[in-house]
Amino acid sequence: MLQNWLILLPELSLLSFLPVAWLVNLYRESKTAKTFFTLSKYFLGAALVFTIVFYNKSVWSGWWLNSRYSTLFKVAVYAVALVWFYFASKWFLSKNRSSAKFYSICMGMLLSFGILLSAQNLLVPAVLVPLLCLLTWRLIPLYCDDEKIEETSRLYIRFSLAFWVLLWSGVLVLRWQTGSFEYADIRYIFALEGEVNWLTYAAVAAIIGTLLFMMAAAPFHFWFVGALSVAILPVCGFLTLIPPFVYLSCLITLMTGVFSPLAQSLQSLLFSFAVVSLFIGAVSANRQNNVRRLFGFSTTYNLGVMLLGILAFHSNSVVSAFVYTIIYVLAMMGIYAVFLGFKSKGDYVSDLDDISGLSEAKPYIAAAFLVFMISLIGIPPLLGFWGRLSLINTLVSEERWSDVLMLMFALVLMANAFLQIIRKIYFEPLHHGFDRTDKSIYICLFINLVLILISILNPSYLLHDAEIVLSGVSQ
Amino acid sequence: MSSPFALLSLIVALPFLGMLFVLTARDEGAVKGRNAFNVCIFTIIANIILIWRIFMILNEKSRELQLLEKFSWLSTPNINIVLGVDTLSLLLILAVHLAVLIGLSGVRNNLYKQKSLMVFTLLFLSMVTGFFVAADIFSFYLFFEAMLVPLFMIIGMFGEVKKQDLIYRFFLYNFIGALILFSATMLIYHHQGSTTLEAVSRLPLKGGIGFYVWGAVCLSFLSRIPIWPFHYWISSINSGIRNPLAFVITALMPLTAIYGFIRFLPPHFSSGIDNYVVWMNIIGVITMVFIALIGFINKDAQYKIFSYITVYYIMYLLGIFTNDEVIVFNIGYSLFGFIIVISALEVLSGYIIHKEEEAESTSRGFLCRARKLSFVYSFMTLAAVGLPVSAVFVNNFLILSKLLGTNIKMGMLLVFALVIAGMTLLQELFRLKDDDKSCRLGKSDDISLPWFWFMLFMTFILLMSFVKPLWFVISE
Repeated sequence: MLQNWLILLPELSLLSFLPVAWLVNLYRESKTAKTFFTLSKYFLGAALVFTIVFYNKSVWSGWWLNSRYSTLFKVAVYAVALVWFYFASKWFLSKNRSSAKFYSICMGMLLSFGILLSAQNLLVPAVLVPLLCLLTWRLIPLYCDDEKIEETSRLYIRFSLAFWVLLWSGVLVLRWQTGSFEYADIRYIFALEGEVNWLTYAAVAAIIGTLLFMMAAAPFHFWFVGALSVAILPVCGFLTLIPPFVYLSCLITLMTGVFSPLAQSLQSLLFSFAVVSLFIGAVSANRQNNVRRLFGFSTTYNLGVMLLGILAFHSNSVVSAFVYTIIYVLAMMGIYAVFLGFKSKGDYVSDLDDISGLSEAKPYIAAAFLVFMISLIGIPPLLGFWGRLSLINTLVSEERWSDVLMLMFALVLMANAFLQIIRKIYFEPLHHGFDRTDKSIYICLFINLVLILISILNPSYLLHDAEIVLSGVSQ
Repeated sequence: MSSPFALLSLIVALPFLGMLFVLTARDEGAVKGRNAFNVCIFTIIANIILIWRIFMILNEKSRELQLLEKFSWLSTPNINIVLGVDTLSLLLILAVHLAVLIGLSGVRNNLYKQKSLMVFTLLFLSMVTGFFVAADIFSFYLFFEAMLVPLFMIIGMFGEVKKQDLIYRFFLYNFIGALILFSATMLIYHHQGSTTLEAVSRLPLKGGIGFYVWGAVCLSFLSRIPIWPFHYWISSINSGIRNPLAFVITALMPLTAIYGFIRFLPPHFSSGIDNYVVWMNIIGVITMVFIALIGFINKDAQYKIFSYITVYYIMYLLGIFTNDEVIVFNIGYSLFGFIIVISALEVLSGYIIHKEEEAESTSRGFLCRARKLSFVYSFMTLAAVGLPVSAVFVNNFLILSKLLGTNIKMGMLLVFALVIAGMTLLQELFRLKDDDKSCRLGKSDDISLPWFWFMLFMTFILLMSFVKPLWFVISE
C-alpha cells in the first residue's frame, strides 16, 4: 500500500500544489507574483525528481504504466514547464498581477499531461482530454484585456464540445467492437481479426482527430493562432511549448501500441493533416503583421513537419520526430524569452512595425532572435539543422521523394516569413525606444544560445539516452 | 597525412572565436568601432599566419587532400565530419583572407554599425574557411549553406541596396540552391554512405539518380554565379553595393561555386553530367559576352568592376569544364591573384566614389593629383587586364590556350569577352587619368601613407606570385 503511494509521488506532488496555492492565496498577505512561482518550482521540481526515481514503477497496471518511454516525455515536459514558469514569473512581476490562477491551471494541466503520458486505457484520455480542454479554455483569456479573446475562447469551447462527443463516441464504439478499453487488448484484437469494419475505422479516426485538434494541427489551428495573437505571454508560451510533447507522445503510443494493425489506413489520414498543416502554416505566416501570430503559424508548420516525419512510426521516424520536437521547443523557448524583451512604455509589443530597428536598441536580443529563427529554418551550423537533417534522412530512407520536395518548398516559404522579421529588426530604422530588459532574461537567452550553438558540435550527447529509449518504439 | 594540433579546425574556429570577442568588445564613445575593427584585423592576421604554417607542412606536389581531421558527428544518420586541404584549397583560403583584409582597409573609418559588420565578416570568414577545408560531402554542404546568413546580413545591413525585395530574392534563390545541394547530398549519402569529397567525383551514379544528382549539383553551384538565368539578382545586388567590404565579400560568392565544381566534377564526363556541361558552356559564353558589353557601356564604376569579375569567373568555370587537372591548378593560382586584384580595385574604387560624393565633384582626372592612389590603382588595373605583373597573367594564358584548343569558336568568343572586360577597366582608368579642371579633388584627397604601404604590400604579393606562385612557402 505504502509502495503504491510512493509510486504516485510525482502526481501527488503536482496535485498537492493546488490546495497549498489556494491556502497561500487565501491567507498570506505579503504574496507577490514570485510567491506562486516559488511554490510551483518546488512542487514541479519534486514531481520531476520522483518521476525519474520511479521511472519503471507503476500502480493500476491496466490503467497506466510508467516506462522509460513515458518518463522521457514526462521529464521533457516538466523541465520545459519549469523553465517557462520562470519566464512567466518575469511577466507577472513586471505587470504586478497575481500569478495564482496561471500557475494553478498550468499545474493542473501538467498533472493531466503526466497521467495521459502513462495511460494504458482509453478511458484515461476520454476523461482527461475534456478536462484539459476545460483548463485550456480557462487559461486562454487569463488577464487578457483584448476583446478578441472572448471570441477565441468561445470558439474553442464550442469545438472542444464537438470533439468530446467525437472522442467519447470513438471510445465507446471501440469498446463495443473489441470488448475492452485497455490498449493491449484492443491491439491484440485488431491484430487477431486482421480486417476491421468501417465503424471501427471511424472510431479510431475520431480519437486521432481529437488528438490533432488538441495539438492544433491544421485545419484545427484557428483556436491556437487566435489565442496566441492576443493572450498574455505566459499563456502563449505554455500553449506553444508544452502540448506538442504530450500529444506527440500520445500519438506515438496510440499508433504503435494500440492501432498499429490499422496503421496503413491511418497513415493517409495523418498525411493529409501533415500536408495541410505544413502549407497553411508556411503560407499564412507570410501574411502576418503580428509577430506572435506569425510564430503561431510557424508552430502549425512545425507540427506538419513532425507529422510528416513520424508517419511511418518506426524507430527512426520516432527518433527523428522527437529530435525535431526538442530542437523546435528549444528554439521556441528562446523566441518567447526574446518576446519578454519586447517591452515598450510598459507594454509588451507584438506588431511587426513596433519591433523595427530592434538591433539598434537591443543588439543582443536582436542577435538572439536571429539565431533562434535561423535555427528554426534549419540553416547550419545551428542545432535546427540537425532536426532538418534527421527528418529528411528518414524521408529519403523511406524513398518519399515527393514529401521531401514538399517539405523543402514549405521550408522556403517559412524562411521568407522569417526574412520579413529579420528585415524589420535589422534593416529598418528604430521607430521607438524599448524598456530596460531584465538581466535574467539575458542570462537565460545566453544559456539557450549556448545550447543551440554548442550542441551542434556533438549533438549525440544531448539526446543519446533518448535515442536508445525511442529506438525500441515501432509498430 | 594527419594534421598536427588540429590546425585545420583551428583556422575555422579562430575567426569564430574572434567573432565572439568582437561581440563582447566595448563599442561606445571614443572607441566606437575601433575595438571591433582591431579584434577583426588581429584575428585575420593570426589566421593568415596559421595558414602560412600549414603551407609549410603541406606536400604541394600531392593532388590529394592532406592533413585529414576526422570527427564522429552523428550516429543517426551516421555522419563523420572530415576536414582536409590541398594546395588549391589552401591557396584559396589565403586569397579570401587577404581579400577580406583589403576590404577591411576600406572600412577602417566606418562608424555605422561597425561592430555588427565585423561580427558578420568574421562569421563569414569562419564559414568560408570551413567550406574550403571540408573533405566530405556533409561538411561541404554544411558550410556551403552556413555562409549564406552572414552574407545576407552584410548585404542587408551595409549593402545600401535600394530595392529591399532584391535582397530577399537573393537570399531565397541561394537558399533554394543550397536546399537542392542538400537533396543531392542526401541522395549520395543513401547510395554510398558518408562519402569523402575526393570520392564524390568518382561515384558510379548512373541513370536517373546520376541525372538528378549532377543536375542538382550544377544548379546549386550555378545559383551562386551570375550566369543566365541567375544573373539578374546577383548583378542587381552586386552593382548596388556601396560598402567596399560588403562588395568584396559578395564577390567571393561565385568563388565558392567555382570551387564546388572543381571538387564535384568527375574526371570523365560520362555519368549523366555530360548533358549539363554542353549547355553550361553555351550559356556561359553567351552570358560572358553580354555582361562584358553591358559593363563596357555602363557608366557606373561599380558595375564595370562587377562585369569584369563575372566575365573572369565564367572563364574559370569554362576552364574547369575542360576537365584537365593541370588547368585546374592553373585556375587555382590565377584565382589567388585575381581575388586580390578585384578586392583592391573595389576598395580603391569605393574610396574614389566616396571622395567624389564628399566633395560633390567629378572624379575625372583625380588620379593626376593623387599620386599614391594613382600608382596602386593603375597597377591593379593593369594586373587585372592581364599584364605580366601577377599570377593572373601566365595562368590565364594557359587556361585560354586550353579553351581555344578545345573549341576554337567558343574560345574566340571568350577572348572577345575578355578583351571587352579589360577595355572596360581601362576605360575607367583613362577617365580617372584624364585631367579635368572641374575636378575639385586634390592632393589632400590622396590615400593615407599607411594605407599606401598596405596596398604596396599587396602589389608585392602579386608581383611575387608572378615570379613563383608559392613563393612564400619555406619547405621543411
